[in-house]
Amino acid sequence: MNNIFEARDITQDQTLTTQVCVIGTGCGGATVAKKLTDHGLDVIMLDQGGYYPAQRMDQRELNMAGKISAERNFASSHDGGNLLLYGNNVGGASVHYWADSYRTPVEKLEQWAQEYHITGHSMADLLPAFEELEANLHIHAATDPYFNRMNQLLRKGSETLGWRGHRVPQARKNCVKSGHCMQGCLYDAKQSQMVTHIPQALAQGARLYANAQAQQLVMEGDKVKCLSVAMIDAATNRPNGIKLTINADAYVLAAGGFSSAYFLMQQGLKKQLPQLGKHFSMNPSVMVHGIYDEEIILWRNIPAAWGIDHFWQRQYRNGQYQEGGYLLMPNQIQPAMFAATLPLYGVEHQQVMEQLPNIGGTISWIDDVEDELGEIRIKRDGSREVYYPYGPTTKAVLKDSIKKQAELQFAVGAKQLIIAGHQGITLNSMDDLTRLENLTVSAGGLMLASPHPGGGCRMGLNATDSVVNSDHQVHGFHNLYVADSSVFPTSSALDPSLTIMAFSHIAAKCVAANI
Amino acid sequence: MQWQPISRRSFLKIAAVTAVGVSATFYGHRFMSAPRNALHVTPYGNFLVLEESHAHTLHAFAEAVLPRGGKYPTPQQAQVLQRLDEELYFISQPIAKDVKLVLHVLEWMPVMYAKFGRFSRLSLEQRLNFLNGTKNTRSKTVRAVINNCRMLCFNMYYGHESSWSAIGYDGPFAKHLPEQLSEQRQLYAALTTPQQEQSQ
Repeated sequence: MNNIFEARDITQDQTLTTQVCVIGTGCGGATVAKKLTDHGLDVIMLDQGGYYPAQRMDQRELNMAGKISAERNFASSHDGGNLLLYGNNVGGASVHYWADSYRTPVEKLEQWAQEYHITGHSMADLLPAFEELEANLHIHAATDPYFNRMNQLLRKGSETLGWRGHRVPQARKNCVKSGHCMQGCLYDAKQSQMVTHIPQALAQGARLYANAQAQQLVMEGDKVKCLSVAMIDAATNRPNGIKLTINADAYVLAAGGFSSAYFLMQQGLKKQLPQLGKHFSMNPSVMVHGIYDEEIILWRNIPAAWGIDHFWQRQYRNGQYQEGGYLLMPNQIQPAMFAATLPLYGVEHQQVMEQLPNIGGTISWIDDVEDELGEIRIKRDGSREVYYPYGPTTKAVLKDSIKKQAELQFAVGAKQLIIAGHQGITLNSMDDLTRLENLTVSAGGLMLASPHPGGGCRMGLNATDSVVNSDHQVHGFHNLYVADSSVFPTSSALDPSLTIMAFSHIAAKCVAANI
Repeated sequence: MQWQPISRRSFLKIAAVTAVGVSATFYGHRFMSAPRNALHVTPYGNFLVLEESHAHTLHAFAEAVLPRGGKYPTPQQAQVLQRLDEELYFISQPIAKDVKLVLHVLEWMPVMYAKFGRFSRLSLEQRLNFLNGTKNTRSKTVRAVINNCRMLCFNMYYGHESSWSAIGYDGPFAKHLPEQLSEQRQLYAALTTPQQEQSQ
């Protein structure tokens, strides 16, 4: 298409004019752009990352992390203990996500309305968006041919133990079961933004600028007057000195949960918006690897065809946490990332790696505890810090999720379990669960990964309790909006992609009405 | 309960100073001020980010933790140091600096444990014993340092094709699909290859 521009295409400073400038092209930005073009508006999409369609993919872990993952997967939380996984490319994290596509749980939407005073985002409001998105992205429940051995075992385990499970809704079309979802889909089968909303927006006249880093919003009263953008040289990954100036009627920030609050802080808005960066969630996930007598081949077919939602809600008795607060799924990681999670060295490590085809595993997605959320901060040197405290309930939830993963995997034949982390805790039977008493959660004691950020630009009533209102408008600004997971008041609990897209339908409606 | 909002970089810096005092401060200053495009010629290859001292530490760590012998490639054959250097060259500078500090702290960490030698000067067996001995440490710093070194090392090693057959991994699903080198990979290769080799 001739309306896609990369750094190599821009040879001098330019001033561009449009009705809406969208910063970020992940699930939020691409969806907003597509919906705005449905309304007949002129849109410019910006992404600081590169443009990597299928023909630039090669299914190699490190190569693809260098192309589509922010900081090549080296970013971590403040204490180095939690890997922060997100996109830095056109299409954002949707290019490397697992394609799990859940509607927002009704309980969450009700909680957000009642406790955080959000309006216009009830299930009734979102239903038309969900229906349109599910049709557009070919979302359907995973069918039997897409159950790899680990998914089959998980389903068997949940049935044996009486734990409620479900077929995970998938955004796929003609999937070839390569197992390379996290390296980007070479077959354009995964319905990422790269193959759905972005080309649809482009076909309706939108322009896309890749390698284009939004740097400064120029404010005039309660309006953003223009945006200064630095072009990033694709080879050096540094600004090449060429600038774009974008004059738009409205600006939609959709840089993603790890980046949007940070961007607004860089604009010096923290004093004006004291909640900026606060209430940050990230669905921390903990992995338990299992060694089986049979071949598992964890790295092929789709990652999560079966999910166990039996423990989705935290259970309390007399105010004391009992169990639950997470979703259980099979894990899927390619060998380099898998090995990186192994706590063993030398011969012990070698013995495990040589059993790779027989290694399976599970993962728990933790629904962040509301009163133990983290914060995005800006450091003295201007860099971002993701602070996450791991409060007492969060720690208890993490440990409980490991126990349940162990129970499940032993029930379906695992011989030995290895808990991802530094401590090298292995379990040979349920009796070994007492070893978890020595498990340390922070700073790498337990290996955690977080690809589902939320919050930091919480939605709410006014600047004392939030950053944006229910129209996605930043408090105090007439033409500045946020449309990504950073507006969530609390964790969305499940993979947030569909929630982000549905919220972005609402955001687009609000922006269009205000133009 | 009060949690300590100490940043990762801050506690690594504190650890570095605690571990080696004035020496760490001296080397830390060198890390921070190294020019971005300087080529460091080391016994393990030409690097843009890792200096010779980092390379010795990382190589010693890789030797200790990675599989050895038989069908397994050596750390050099799997280009562990070279690939990590390449990754560090393209990520944000604060993160690259953290990784270098981590390697520096690892080098001096045995001294904290009353071992009479820096990490890279311990025998292979001593290095393994030292690493295994830290598994149940209560020190956040020690955990973070070793955990991050381990993750980086394994990630680079098993990201390289030469290690795949030994572990039964059949590689990319699309067989015979050539690597699609990004502009960044091509640039790194050019910057680290001596001019006479490039012209041959």
